[in-house]
Amino acid sequence: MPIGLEGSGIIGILIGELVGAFALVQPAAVFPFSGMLLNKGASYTTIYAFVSTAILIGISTFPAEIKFFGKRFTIVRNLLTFFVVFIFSLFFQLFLK
Amino acid sequence: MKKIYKEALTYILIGLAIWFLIFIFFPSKGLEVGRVAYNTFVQAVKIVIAVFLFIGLLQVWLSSETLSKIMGKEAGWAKYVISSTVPIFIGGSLFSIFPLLSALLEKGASLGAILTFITAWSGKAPLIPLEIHFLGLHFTILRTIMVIPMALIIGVVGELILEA
Repeated sequence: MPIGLEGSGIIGILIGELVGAFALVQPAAVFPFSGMLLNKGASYTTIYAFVSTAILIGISTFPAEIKFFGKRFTIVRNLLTFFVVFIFSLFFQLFLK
Repeated sequence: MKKIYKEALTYILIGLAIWFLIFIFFPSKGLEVGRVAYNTFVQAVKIVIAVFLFIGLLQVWLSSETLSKIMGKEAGWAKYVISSTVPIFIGGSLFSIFPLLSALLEKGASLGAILTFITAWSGKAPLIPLEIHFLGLHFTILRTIMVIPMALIIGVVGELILEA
């Protein structure tokens, strides 16, 4: 089933971001997996959201991040990244056309 | 290192177990799974070798000591210029850059520079051959360029929030 076709824009971006944030993926594995999603019909915008959060936000890296930089830094960085990636995904969709 | 092997082995065993179950219930699907897995493996091996050579070279050329020197607090706003572009060329996962960044923080780098650094690191230049192969040239160029403004926004806004 195609996820996040150009028409489903915002929902598609949010799903892509959430999956990316929760997924336990090594950066080197992100691209082959995204390529597969693309072949299955996911839109470039959704893939952009997914790739960005998969690399930058990791539920699995929270403990390490809190240990190195503290709780406040971790929460601010991850929430801010999630928000900014969302805005940039909208821009990405514009530039792609 | 041993933990990585153990983890990898667990994934391989789980994968094989699922494959085995598919073979029992849908023999034709099982063959298809094997064919796709083989093709993907052969393709991945070729690229992974190129990528790892690239990562190795960059790690040698760009030592953490050099980076600490450039990103110190006395570097002024110039550190934003550096921390939004240089990390694009560094490989590794979040786990491998956290220790580097916490060393930078101790040496006096500002929180904004650290935030910019983490975000810009998602540019992932060492993996560009992989990205172009799977997602296309257009996507790769656009994403890599957009990492820079994204890093600057997160760095500046994040510092404002954290120091408020």
